[in-house]
Amino acid sequence: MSRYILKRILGMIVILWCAGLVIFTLTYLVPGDPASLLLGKEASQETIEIKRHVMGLDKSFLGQLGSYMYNTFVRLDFGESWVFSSSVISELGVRLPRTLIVGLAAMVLNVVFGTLLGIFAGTHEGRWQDSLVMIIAMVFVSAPDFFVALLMILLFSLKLNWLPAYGIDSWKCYVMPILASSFGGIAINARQARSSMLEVIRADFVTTARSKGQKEGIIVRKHMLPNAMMPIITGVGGGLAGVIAGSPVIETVFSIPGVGAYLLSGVNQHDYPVVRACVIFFALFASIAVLIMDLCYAFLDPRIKAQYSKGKKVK
Amino acid sequence: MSDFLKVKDLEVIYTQAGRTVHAVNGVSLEVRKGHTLGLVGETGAGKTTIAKAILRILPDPPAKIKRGEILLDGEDLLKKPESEMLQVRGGKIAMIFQDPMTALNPLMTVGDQILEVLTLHNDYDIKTGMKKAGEMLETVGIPAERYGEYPHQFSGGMKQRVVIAMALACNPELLLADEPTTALDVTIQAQVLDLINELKEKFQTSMILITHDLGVIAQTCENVAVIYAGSIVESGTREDIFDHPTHPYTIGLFESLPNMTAEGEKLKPIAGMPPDPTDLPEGCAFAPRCPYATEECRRRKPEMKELSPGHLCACFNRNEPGTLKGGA
Ligand SMILES: Nc1ncnc2c1ncn2[C@@H]1O[C@H](COP(=O)(O)OP(=O)(O)O)[C@@H](O)[C@H]1O
Ligand SMILES: [Mg+2]
Repeated sequence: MSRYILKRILGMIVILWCAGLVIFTLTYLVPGDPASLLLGKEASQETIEIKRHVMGLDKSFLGQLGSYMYNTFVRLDFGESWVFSSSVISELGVRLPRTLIVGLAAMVLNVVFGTLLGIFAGTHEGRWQDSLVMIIAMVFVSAPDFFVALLMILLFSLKLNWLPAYGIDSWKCYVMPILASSFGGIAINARQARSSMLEVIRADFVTTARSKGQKEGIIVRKHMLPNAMMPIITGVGGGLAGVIAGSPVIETVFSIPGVGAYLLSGVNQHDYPVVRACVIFFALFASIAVLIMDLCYAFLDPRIKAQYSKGKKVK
Repeated sequence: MSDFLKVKDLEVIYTQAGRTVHAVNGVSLEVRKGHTLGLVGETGAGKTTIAKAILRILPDPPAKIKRGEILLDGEDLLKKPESEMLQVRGGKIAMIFQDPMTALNPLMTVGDQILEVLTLHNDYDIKTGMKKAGEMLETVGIPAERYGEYPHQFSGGMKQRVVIAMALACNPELLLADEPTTALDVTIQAQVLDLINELKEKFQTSMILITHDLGVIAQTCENVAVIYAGSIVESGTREDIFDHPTHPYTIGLFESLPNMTAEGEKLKPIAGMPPDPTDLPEGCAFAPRCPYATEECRRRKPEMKELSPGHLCACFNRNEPGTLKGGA
């Protein structure tokens, strides 16, 4: 098992490395000279040249890439924002908790409500409860986050005046962002949970349990749920990564100074160190989320566990 | 001696997408204490449905028991409240399923799955229960040390042994064995069958052995019922059926069997296909494939007639026990 974890962590490093390579190349290829954009139209050619030298933009592509990769992955130094001249990593440190509060809370809602709704729908297959849940899920899946967010602002802030429309001044500010970013995930989880529940309800081992004289309630708890949870868990990791990846939109709509908003401002102002650091962070976050879920999966499912534990062959 | 299990005029339908599958159409069966009834018929004939109906574990929807009685020691199981059925399932009546690959919960150790049925029907504490479950594993030829292993660590034959251990754990009075060897390799089939027989003797269990394999029936059953499209077409003792097959379908079954036909003679598979269970013929269900079919067969469904004591056959044209050769 530890061998497997080690292998996965090495794989994660390679993925981050690739993410760095790709995002650096992409930002390098964006048209426009960051130095002259930064200094504005009035700057003289001379000042621009000096700025370019300070920013390291006068070096060749490979030279720039090399020093970027070296700084980022060996010295773990993400540099300074070109626009604000502040350390990117400390800014990330300040912003990260805000993004995580929204992301993790939305994730908890996704898993809890998505799974419950899905199980409810699955156990009422073909009846009106099932149809109702699936219709709601379809609406949630199809409605874009920002649209739901705007509707919520209209209703809860402007009309009812219950919740603030923007900012991070109190816990109330987080309510709408969390809800808005969880709807899509709840819907996806509900559909996943429903279909794995349906599969399990028809499974032979459930009939076996019935033939033993087991009570229906215990069959659901002991036989159906654990088996239905397996595919749901797999979805959780990807869902968590998805919530974080959706943060630029939600954080912009609700004016939350989180990592997502940071990324977006970096893109708008050609502040590439910021963009690169945020992308690396997203990649890191996604890989950790998926890794944790895979480990849960391996831990809970004896079949997967057997594949991973070295030396213990499946008999 | 009275019959221990008596199924009377059982009818089961499945409703699917507005269509009605007539899976079991007025089946009557009897099983005597300690005896084995072989239930033989093609895939889709309704064998599994009958077994599940006896235990009342048919999925509802889509399945519905329309009418009939299932008398166990004179008590109608279909009238029992669910709470009493829980005691019957796994206790008085146990079932061995067709496919050992999917019959076990992949996330539970095999020992715990046996323990589950043991604790449901006995007042064991966990320790005694685990010891008993280990003993059951030994009984079916699996070392008790493998209690904590998961189904995926076992081969198909071993899994079926676990399923058998589970079924026999509480000393059931009636065992429903639904094609217990169909999913297994030929070499393992004999072993598993021997095991079932041996345990059945040991525990004095009555059994319904479901199969589409006449060879299996010949080895194990005192009585045989032949089922076609949800109806019993012929029943009797093993000798009745094997020495005097009478119904054209039974004869067809024997003639399509390699080792039952004399050397040099060609195999004669039964021409045609079983009828669509959503649209059964009005008369005898076998009429469309039957060489003896008359106008009456197509109009009216034949009743079971007693040809000789205990030997029943549902056919208008065959009124006395047949002989194997030539089938007349
Ligand atoms: N869950 C189900 N839904 C609809 N039809 C079913 C279901 N289970 C079985 N049937 C139908 O009932 C008939 C009898 O099936 P079954 O009892 O499994 O036959 P056997 O065990 O003899 O192969 C078949 O036509 C089959 O298609
Ligand atoms: Mg079957």
